[in-house]
Amino acid sequence: MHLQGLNDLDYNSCLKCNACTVSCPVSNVTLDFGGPKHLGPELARLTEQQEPIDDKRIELCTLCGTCDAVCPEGVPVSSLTANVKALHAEENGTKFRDFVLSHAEYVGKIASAFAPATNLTMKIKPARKVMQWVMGMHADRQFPVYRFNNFKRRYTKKTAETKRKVAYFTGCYATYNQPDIGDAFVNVMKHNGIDVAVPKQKCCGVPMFANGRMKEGKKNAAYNVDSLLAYVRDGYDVVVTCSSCSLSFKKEYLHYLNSAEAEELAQHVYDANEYLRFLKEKDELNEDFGAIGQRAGYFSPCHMKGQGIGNPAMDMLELIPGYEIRDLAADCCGQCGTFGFKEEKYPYSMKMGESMKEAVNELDAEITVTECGMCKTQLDQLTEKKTMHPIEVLAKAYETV
Amino acid sequence: MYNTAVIGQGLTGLFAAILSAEKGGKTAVISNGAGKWLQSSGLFDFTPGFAGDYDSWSKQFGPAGSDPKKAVDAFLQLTKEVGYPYAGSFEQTVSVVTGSGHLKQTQLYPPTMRPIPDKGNFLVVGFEEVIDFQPAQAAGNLQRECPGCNVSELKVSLGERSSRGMSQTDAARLLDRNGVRQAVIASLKAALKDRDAEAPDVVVFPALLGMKNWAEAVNDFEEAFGCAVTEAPGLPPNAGALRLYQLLKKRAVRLGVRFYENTAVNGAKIQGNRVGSLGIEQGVRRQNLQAEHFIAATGGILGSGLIDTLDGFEETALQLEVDANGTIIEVPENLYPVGAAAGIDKTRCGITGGIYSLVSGYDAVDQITAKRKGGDSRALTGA
Amino acid sequence: MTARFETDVVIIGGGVTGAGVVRDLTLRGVRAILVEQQDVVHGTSSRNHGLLHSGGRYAVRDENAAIESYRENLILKETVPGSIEQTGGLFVKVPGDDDDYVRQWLKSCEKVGIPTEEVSVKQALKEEPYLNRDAEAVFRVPDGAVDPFTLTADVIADAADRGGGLLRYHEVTSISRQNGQVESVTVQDRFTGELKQIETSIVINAAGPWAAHVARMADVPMELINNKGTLTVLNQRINRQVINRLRMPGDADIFVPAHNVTIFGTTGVNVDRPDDTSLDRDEIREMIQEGAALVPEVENIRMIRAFSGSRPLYQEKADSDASGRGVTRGMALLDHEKRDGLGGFITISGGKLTTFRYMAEKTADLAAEKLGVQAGCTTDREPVPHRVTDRDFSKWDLSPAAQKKVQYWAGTNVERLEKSLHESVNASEVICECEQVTWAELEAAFPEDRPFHLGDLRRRTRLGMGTCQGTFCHQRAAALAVENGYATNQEAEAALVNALETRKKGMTPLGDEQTRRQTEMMDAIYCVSLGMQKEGESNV
Repeated sequence: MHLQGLNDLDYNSCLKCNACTVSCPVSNVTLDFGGPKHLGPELARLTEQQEPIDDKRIELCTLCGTCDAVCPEGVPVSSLTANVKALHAEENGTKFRDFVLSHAEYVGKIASAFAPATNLTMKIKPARKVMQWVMGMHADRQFPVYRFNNFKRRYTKKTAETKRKVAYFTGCYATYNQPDIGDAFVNVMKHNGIDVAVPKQKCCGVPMFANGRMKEGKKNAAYNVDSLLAYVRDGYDVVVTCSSCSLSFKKEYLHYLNSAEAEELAQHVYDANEYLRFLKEKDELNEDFGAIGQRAGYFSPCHMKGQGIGNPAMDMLELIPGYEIRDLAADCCGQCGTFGFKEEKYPYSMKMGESMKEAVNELDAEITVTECGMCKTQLDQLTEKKTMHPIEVLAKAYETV
Repeated sequence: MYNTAVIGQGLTGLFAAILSAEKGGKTAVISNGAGKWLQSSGLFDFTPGFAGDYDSWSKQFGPAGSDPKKAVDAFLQLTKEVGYPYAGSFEQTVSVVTGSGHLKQTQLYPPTMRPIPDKGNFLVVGFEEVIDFQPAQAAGNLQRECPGCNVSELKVSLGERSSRGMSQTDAARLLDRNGVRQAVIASLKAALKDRDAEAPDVVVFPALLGMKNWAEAVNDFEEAFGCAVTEAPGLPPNAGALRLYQLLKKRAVRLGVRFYENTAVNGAKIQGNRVGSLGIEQGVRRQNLQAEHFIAATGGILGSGLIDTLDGFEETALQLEVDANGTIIEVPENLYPVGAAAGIDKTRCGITGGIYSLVSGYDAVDQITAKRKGGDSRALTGA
Repeated sequence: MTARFETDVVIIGGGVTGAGVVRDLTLRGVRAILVEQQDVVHGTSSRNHGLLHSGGRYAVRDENAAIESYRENLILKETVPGSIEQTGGLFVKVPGDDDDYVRQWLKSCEKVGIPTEEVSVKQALKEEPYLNRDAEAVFRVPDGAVDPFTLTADVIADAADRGGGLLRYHEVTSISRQNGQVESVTVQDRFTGELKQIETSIVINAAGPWAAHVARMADVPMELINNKGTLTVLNQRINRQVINRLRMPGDADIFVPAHNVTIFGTTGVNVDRPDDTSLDRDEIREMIQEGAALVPEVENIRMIRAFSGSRPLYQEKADSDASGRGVTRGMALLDHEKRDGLGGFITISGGKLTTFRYMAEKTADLAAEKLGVQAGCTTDREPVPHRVTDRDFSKWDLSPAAQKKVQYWAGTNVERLEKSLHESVNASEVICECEQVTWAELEAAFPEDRPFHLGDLRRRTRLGMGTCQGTFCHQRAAALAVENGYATNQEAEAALVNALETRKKGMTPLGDEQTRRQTEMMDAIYCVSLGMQKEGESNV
């Protein structure tokens, strides 16, 4: 098996061409950001076998991964910037606010337990002002709603009995904020005769990496690899509805854990629609979709673009009779996970969202479809259109029969 | 299953993918990076780095089959539709000024750039914050290369500092804002008031006249000076190239082209004289991607489609055998090497210059379309 | 008309030896002028590893060289601290290397007083992860890394501050003698063509590989073996400390860290011409294969440059040892009054970067004796001003990386640097991103005496020495030089053409995939986007 060696985070291919910085959604709205070229490959080279350099500007990196996709030389830019983030957090400590935001799961558990109170608080302007003051979370930012009846309470099946078996990695968002996605996924699988098990799991770690809490992120990563790999070796396919979680299994874990186990898991992880497309290629997909007459715009999250799997959501939604879906061809939404919640990042987040808003208005579809809960937060904040997860649309199509 | 899979999203690949999708073919683009868009000038030359006309170009590049003018027309039409209409033609070579003040010969140019007349008053404008373009150098070189002209220079501030070095595209985004433009115009006018020089016939700027709002920017500056303005592309990134890339990419996505980014092509299944599928890889994940036709727009040495080893060239994507020019020796019948991937004899100074990219990409899609419509019709297209 | 000057000593050759001599003499109060045909430190002095020897490499074969090296190693760490990184070094035995040699080496080191300490292989791998995991024995020695560019420049600058003279880009056209005594040296300004005659009592020939050529101008017969060594520069710094192979010195067995890169080499081939700095692709390939024994990854890590330089090896009779390694690398101080009956003519040749100060001391002693000067050498205790500055740069708008570069680099130029930061709008802009060179640094480093030349800036600031080898910064620096009145358009253009040519010369023979792409990008940007004429072919 191929094991990534010393040059795992190889910056040597960089030709200094600037493609990353020119394409970086943050660089495009602010000159305060040092840019991925400098904070990634350049800084890595300048500190290799020498003393580290802490650069505060790294706080503006969202780890969206656009730099990776445009780099013509295959430099893993965002993995390099993630290391600089980790260093910066270590040197400067993490704000309590960033600690809270990076622990989506911990917050989810508590907020979900007190869901009505939490949601109410998050909607009361004076309370939000206090949060901005104490926590540095911007008062105007809409927060995702927390559900008391979270997916963990709703669905507890730990094994599957069918021929194809799916181990479902739910992710924090579908667990605590929008358990309907989890329900929809289980239903879609049921329509295909596949049992869904939900293995023990922790937050994928992406919010931790993004806030420089590399050690904790790696701890979660190791836990998930352990738990999910046991299912893989038992013949399960690991399927994920959140694009950031699936990308972390496919890409980030390899860089940060650098283990044979992480590589083995990566081979067996599917985005939900990618999995359905795989079933279709094997002629195993149930295509009995009822017609839905709707014009939809697809918003592709950065972490979905980064997976390099084409556009499986549209591949699936195009199978629904009457369903008209077009890609919005929009850039990064600007929410970027926890980034857009922060008081000092909020203005950047809003600016970044502008082009997405324009794209939504330009296409003027009836609804927007996207996989990512955080992108949905921004879409909800900046546009008038309803936003759905593609799996929810597919579940609806099966039920429309 | 795709009708056409294009490897590479540089100029050649993206243009071919758009044409393919417009012809109704289900199209995928597999790419490892954005090609060399962001290092280029946005101009389309026959023979990059050298003056050349159609005859000398067709001698070196020798496009087979279809009418190369059709490809250029298709490109001009496409840029019109996406809202960044290029001008120029096969027949007329024009001189444009570069970011270091040299004159270079080119064929197709974007609406933010204009050919330079051989006489008149030119004013070269630079910005304090943009270190990639210095008006004294540009004006001095332009004066040397254009003895019949009267060149002067001017430098003003954009009014905003950058923490990372202000590139031309950063500045272009600033100039998308009307407030920044008006402030710049005011300082330019103030600076010119103190001079008793004749009114300029052309004002030369770095390649930064707005990004999305280039039309407003060009218009505002032309109104302010009462004459034509032009961008002088130089050290990348140049706004012209980025505008075109973003607009074409958006076009392709809206057309439903499926992008497999962060993805390397590593080998192919060859069945008989056909490519069956490509081995595509994202990190440690390897899959096969199937299509009826494959367009290799993988670039030459610069684009990493070819590697120059001590034992000769290697073709990196499908890993087919190549000759001393890096040209694939036995091309499978459903594979179309285009642009710089056709071999190093199709590049000068590392690149095709653009025209060959358009022509070969157009040609490939033309052949594929003909085959789709009526079985194998290679004979019809004369290839 | 020929301008006339007068001095006591003319030193020919602006390498590190000549630099040492002019400083030593100036400190003794002797009037001395250093003459250099190009920029200082363009020859052998910069075309080496930049290794501050502990003496370990010579311990077995040449005891004296080992003793001299270790003594000078300690002195230089005190007297030119700004150009030395006290990295320490490792001697590593890899499978196949001779066990007996290790025993002999340890014994010799002990005998000559070089401190060694055995390090467990595990510990060594922890410190140096790129080291061969099959290493069998590792010893620590007090090696260091020395920057020959800053070393030479700073030594000369200190001499100049104390009244020493310097003529760069001046080529010696004749040395005249009268009654068995040197009388004057005539030099020609390479840019203006102007001739200058310098009357002098003593001429010191410190011309390195050109020494035989200079000697012939004074009608003195001399044979030198010019032994060319090739080295490569890795894009990244792979080691914290110097890594040597523990075997009888041979090809490709040293890795020396140099700021952000590692320099790897070397080879030895005798050549005819002193300015033969050609590069051979096969030689480089063999070198890399050999180096893999010590650092296996060397075959995969990007190389950004290759370069070569000639060791001037002196022998009374030219020998035919093809590798040149059998010939002594000790210094050769020739008193041509005794040897050839020419009074006032001295040649100093051979030796090593590490022992340059000692060579200069001995040469200056001889010159002083001839001049009847009593003052002794003080360079073993009189330090050259430090490069690291404790000045606070945080108030300037510099990125952390650029600030670090300035802090560690600009000590000797801090006044000019601060002036630039105060006065120039672009001062804090990073011009060379790979090596974090700001415009302020460039402004502070512009030599005042010559037309604009990018190589001069490169040697003083590291401009264009990094990953992209000047793909971006050359144009920026040239354009800003025109903008700020440091260069005319023609000068900037000539400098650009020259810089691109010399950079590419070191890049193309590498056969490195990424560096090959870099040269193509350089071509595309300069020849196509910027429309600069491609050499030998018409653009119009």
